[in-house]
Amino acid sequence: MANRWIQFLQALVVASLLSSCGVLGPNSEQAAGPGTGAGSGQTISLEMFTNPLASEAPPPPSDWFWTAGVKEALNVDIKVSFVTDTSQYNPKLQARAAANDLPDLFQTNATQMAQLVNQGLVGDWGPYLEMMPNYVRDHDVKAMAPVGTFAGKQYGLVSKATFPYKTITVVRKDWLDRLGLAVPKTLDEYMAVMKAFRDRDPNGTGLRDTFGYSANIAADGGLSHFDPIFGAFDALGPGTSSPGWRIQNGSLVPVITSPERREALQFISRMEQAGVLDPDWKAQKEENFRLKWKGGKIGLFSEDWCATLCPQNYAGFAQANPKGVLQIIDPPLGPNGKSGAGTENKAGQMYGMSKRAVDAGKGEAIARLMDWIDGPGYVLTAYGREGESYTRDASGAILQILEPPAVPFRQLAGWAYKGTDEELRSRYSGTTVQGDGSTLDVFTDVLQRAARLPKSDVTPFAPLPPVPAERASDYTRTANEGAFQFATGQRPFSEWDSYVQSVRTAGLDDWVAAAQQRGTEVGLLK
Amino acid sequence: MTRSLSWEDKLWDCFVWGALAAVTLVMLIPLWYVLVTSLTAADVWVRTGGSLWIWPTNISLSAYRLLLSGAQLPRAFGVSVYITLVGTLLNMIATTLLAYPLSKVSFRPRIPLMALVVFTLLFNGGLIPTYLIVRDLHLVNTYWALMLPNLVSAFNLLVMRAFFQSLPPEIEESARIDGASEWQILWRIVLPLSKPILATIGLFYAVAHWNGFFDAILYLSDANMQPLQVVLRSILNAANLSQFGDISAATALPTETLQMAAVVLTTLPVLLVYPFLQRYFVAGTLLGAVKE
Amino acid sequence: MIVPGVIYFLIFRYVPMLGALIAFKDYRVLEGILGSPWVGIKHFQTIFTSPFFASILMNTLIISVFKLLVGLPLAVAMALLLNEVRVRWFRRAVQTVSYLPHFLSWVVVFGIALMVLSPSSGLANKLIAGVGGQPINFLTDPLWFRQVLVALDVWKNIGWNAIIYLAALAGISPSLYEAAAVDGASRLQRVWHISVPAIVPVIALVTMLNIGNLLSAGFEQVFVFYNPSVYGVGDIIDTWVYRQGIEGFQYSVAAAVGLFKGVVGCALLVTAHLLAKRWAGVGVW
Repeated sequence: MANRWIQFLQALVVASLLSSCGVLGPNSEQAAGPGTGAGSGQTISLEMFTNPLASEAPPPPSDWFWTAGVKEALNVDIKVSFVTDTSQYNPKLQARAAANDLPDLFQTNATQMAQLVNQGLVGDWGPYLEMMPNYVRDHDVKAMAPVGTFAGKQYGLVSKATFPYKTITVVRKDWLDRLGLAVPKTLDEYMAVMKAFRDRDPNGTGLRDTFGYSANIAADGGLSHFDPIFGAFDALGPGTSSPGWRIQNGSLVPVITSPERREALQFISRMEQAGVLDPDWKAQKEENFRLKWKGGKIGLFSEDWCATLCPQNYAGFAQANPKGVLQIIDPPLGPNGKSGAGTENKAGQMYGMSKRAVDAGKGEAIARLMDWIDGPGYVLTAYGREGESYTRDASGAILQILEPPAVPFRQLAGWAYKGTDEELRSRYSGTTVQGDGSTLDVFTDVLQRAARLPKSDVTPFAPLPPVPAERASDYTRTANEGAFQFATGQRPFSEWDSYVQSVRTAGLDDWVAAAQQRGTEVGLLK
Repeated sequence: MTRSLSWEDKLWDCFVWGALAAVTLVMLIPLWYVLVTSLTAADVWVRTGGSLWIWPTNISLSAYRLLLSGAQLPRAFGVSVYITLVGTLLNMIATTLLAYPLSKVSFRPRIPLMALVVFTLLFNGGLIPTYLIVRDLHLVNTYWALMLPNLVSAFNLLVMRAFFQSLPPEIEESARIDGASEWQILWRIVLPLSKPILATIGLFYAVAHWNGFFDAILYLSDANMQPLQVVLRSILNAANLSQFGDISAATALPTETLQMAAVVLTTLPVLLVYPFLQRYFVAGTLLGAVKE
Repeated sequence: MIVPGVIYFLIFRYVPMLGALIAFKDYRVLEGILGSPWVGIKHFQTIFTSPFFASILMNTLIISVFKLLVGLPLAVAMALLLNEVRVRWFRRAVQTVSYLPHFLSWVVVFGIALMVLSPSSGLANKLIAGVGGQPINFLTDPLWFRQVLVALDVWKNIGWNAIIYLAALAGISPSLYEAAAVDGASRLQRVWHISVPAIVPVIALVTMLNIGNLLSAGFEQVFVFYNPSVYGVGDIIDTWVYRQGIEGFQYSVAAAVGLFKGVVGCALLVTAHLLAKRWAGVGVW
C-alpha cells in the first residue's frame, strides 16, 4: 500500500519536471493572433496597453465610439487594455515582457525601453515613420528621437511633452500684506520673510502655528519640493533617474556632487537651524505636505501649479482659508544671480511596439493608427464626441464636459494631445477666485505665468541612462542619506569631500561612464 | 450552575475586564478617527489639518458618494464576493483533504509530504515563474488565476493539521471499529468537531481573497473583471495625481478622506460576516463527543 | 484524498520553484529560464558586497525578533483574557474592535501615526510636554524608530493573531474548568493549568513558523514608515531589494535574495524545530 503511494508520488514528480521543461524553456513565439498580413484588406487586430487619463473614472464602455471610429477609418480591431492602478503599470508590463507576451502597442519610459531593447523584444519605428508624417511633424518626433534611439535604431517613439511646465514658487500674499512685507527677491530676503512668517503670527490666531517653508521626502529618500532653493545655486537636476547633468569641456559632470549642490544644502541647513521649516518635513509624504499649505500653515512653498491654482484643487485651500491669497512669484536669486523654479523636460511620452507585432506585419497598421490619432481622429481621441464629452462655446473653442459620465470617453486623450494653445485652453480652463476677490484665469494667469518662470531645461539629457542596475540600491541610499544629513545639520560640511568619494564609489563613477558612452552615441557630446 | 461569586472571582473579573477595556480603547481611537475622517466635509478637514478626534462637526457623505458613484463599484463588489466565496471553498476543500491524512501517524507517505509542504514555506519560485505557469495553463484573464496559484497555504495547512492531531483518537477508533471509511470519518465525525479551526482558517483565506489586489492587476486585463480593491486603489491613485491637469471630480476631495472612506467600505462586509463566525469560537464543542 | 492538494503543490509551487534558477542566470526572455546563460553567484554578490549588508541584516533580525518577542505573548494574553469573559456582548465587542486594525493598510496607519507623533502638533508630544519633557521626533529619531514600528505592528495585529489561540481555547471542555473549580483552584490557576497547556502546541507552531520567516521583517510597513533619518536602523533586506528593483527587470536579484532568505530560514526553522521537540515535545512536523 505504501509502495503504491510512493510510486504514485514519483510519477507525479517526474511528470511535473517534464512539464516544467516546457514551461521554463524558450518562450517560443505565441500564435500571432488573427488578421496578419498588412494591406490585403484583411482586418488587423491590435492590442494597446496604456494608463488611462483619469484612473478614478471607469474605463470606456464596450461600445466605445473610439474603437468603432478606428475600425471604420482603418479597418483595425483595436483592444485597449487600461491598467487602472497606475502605480502597477510597470510591474504588469514587465511581467508580460518576461513572458514574451508584450502587447502590440504600449506606452513606457526610457528605462524600461532600454531593458526591452536589451532583451530583443521591441520593434524599430524607423521604417514606419514615413507612414505617419503628420504625427511625426506635430509631435516633434525627429527632435525627440535620441531619447528612444538605441544602437542606431529608433525603438522608442518619443513625443514632445504635452503637459506644460509644472513647478511654481508660491507665497501667501495675504500674509505679506498683513505683515507689511514686500515680495522677496533674493535668498536673504526669502529667509527674512520665512522667519517673519514663523514669528509674527501672520494668520492672526495668536498661536505659533505657522511655518515659513515646508517640504517632504520622496519615496526614494530624496529631498522634495526644495526646487527654488536649488535653483538659486544653479544646482537643479538630481532626481530619481538622474544625478543632474552638466556638460563641461565636452564631458558630463554630475550636479549631485558639485560645489553648487553643497552650497544649496548649506542654505537648507541654515533654514533648518533657523527653525523656519515645518518639522514634519523630514518624515512626511507628499500628501501630508499638500495638506499643510492647504490648511494654511505654510507661507512659502514650491508646488505644481495646477495642484495649487486649478479651481478644483484650490477649493480645498479656499474653504480652509477664506481670506487666503496665493501668488506666483519669481524664485529667489542666489549669490551669483542665478535662479530657477524647477526643471523642465520637453521629452514626453514614449511608445513602443512589440517585435512580435512587427513580425506579424502589423507595423504599418500601427503607424497608420498613430497618424490617424493625430489627424482625422484627433478630436475623437482627445475630446470625444460633441454633446457627449465636450461642447463648443460661442467662439467655437472646445469646452470639455467635466462631469464623471463624460470622462471615460476621453481616456486615451494623452495619446492625442499636441500641446497647442487651443488644446491647452480647453484642458486647463476656468477661473479661480481668491480670498481678496481677485480672479485668476487658469490659462493666462497661471499656466502662461508658470511658463515664463526661470527654469532649468533638462531636455538634452533625456536620452541618458539611469543608474546602473546593480548599483541602484547602494547608490540611492548613499547619495540621499548623505544629502539629507547635510541638509539637516546632522553631518558637518567638513565631511563633504568624503561624502563625494562615497557616492562615487557607490555607483556614481560607473553611472557617469555609462552616460558618457550613451551621450557620445546620441551625439550629445561631440 | 449558579454559584455565588467569591471576592476572588470578582477581582479576577475586574482585572480581565479592565485590561480588555483598555486595549479596546487604544484600538478604538484610531478606528474612530478613520470613521470620522471619512464622514467629514472637505473644508472642515483641511482647516483643522486633519486633527479631528471627537465628533465630526460637519457630516458629509461626499467621499462615499464619489466612491459609490461609478458603475464599476457595484460590479467590483460582486466580483470580490464571488472570488471570496468560491475561492475560500476551494481553499478549504484542498487544505482539509491534505491536512487530515497528514495528521494520522499511520499514513506512510506522511514524511515526504510534510517535507514537500514545509519546503514551500521557505522557498518559492517568484513572480515570473509563477506567471509563466499561469500563462501556459491558459488561466490568464480568468478568475482561476486568482484562485489556483494560492490554493493551499502551507501555514494554514500546518495549523489545521495540528488541530486534527489534538483531537482524541478514541473518537475515530470507535467509528473505525464500526467499519466506517476514512471519508466518512472525516465528514461525519472530525469536521463537525473542528468547527473552531475551520472557521479560523476559512476566515484567513476569505480575508486574503477579499483584500487581494496584486494578483488581479497582474493576471486580469479586462476592466470589467476587476475586484473591489483594484477599483478603490485606482480612485485613490487619481486623487494623488491631481496635478496632471485634466480636471475630474475626484481631485476636489482630500486624499485622506477618500482613503478612509475606502477603508470603511472594504471593512464593512467583514464586520458584518464575522459575528456569524464567532459562535464557532464557543467552548465545549467536544462536549459529549467521547463516550466515557 | 490528498490528490488535489498534492497536484496543487507540484504545479503551482514546485514547477515555479525550478524557476528560481533565475537567481543564477542572466534571464533572456526569448531563451526562457532554462536557456538563459549562467552567471554563477553574480547576483548574490550585489547584495553580499553592499556596504550596507551587515547593517540591513542586523536591522532585519532585530526588528523581526523584537516583533515576535513582544507581539506573540501579547496576542496569547489577549486570547486568554478574552476567553475568560463570560458576558457575550462584551466579548464580541472587544473581539471585533481588536481585529479591525488588521484591515487598515499601512499607508492609512502612517497618516494617523504622523498626526499623533508629530513633534510640533501631535498628541503624543503634547502629553510629553505636559509632564515637562522635551518633544521627541518619534518617526525620525533612530533611538525610537524601531519601537514605533513594533508598537504599531502589535496594535495592528494583536487582535487578528489572537484568533488562532481563541480557536484552540474553544476546544477545551468546560467540564475541566468546573472540576478544577470544585477542587478549589483559583481563576488564575485554572488559566495557568488548563488554558495555557491546551494552546502550547499552537503557540509553539506559530513561533517556529515565525522563526523560519525571521528574515522578512514586514516590508510594507517599513517601506511606508522609513526615511533617510532612520535608514541606519530601519533599512531591511526587503527595502534594499526594492530600491534595487526600481528600474525594473531585477528579478534575478530578487530571486537570489529569496533563495538566501529561504536557506537561512530553513536553517533557523530546523534548529527551532529540534529545540522545540527536545524541550516541549512538539515540533513543526
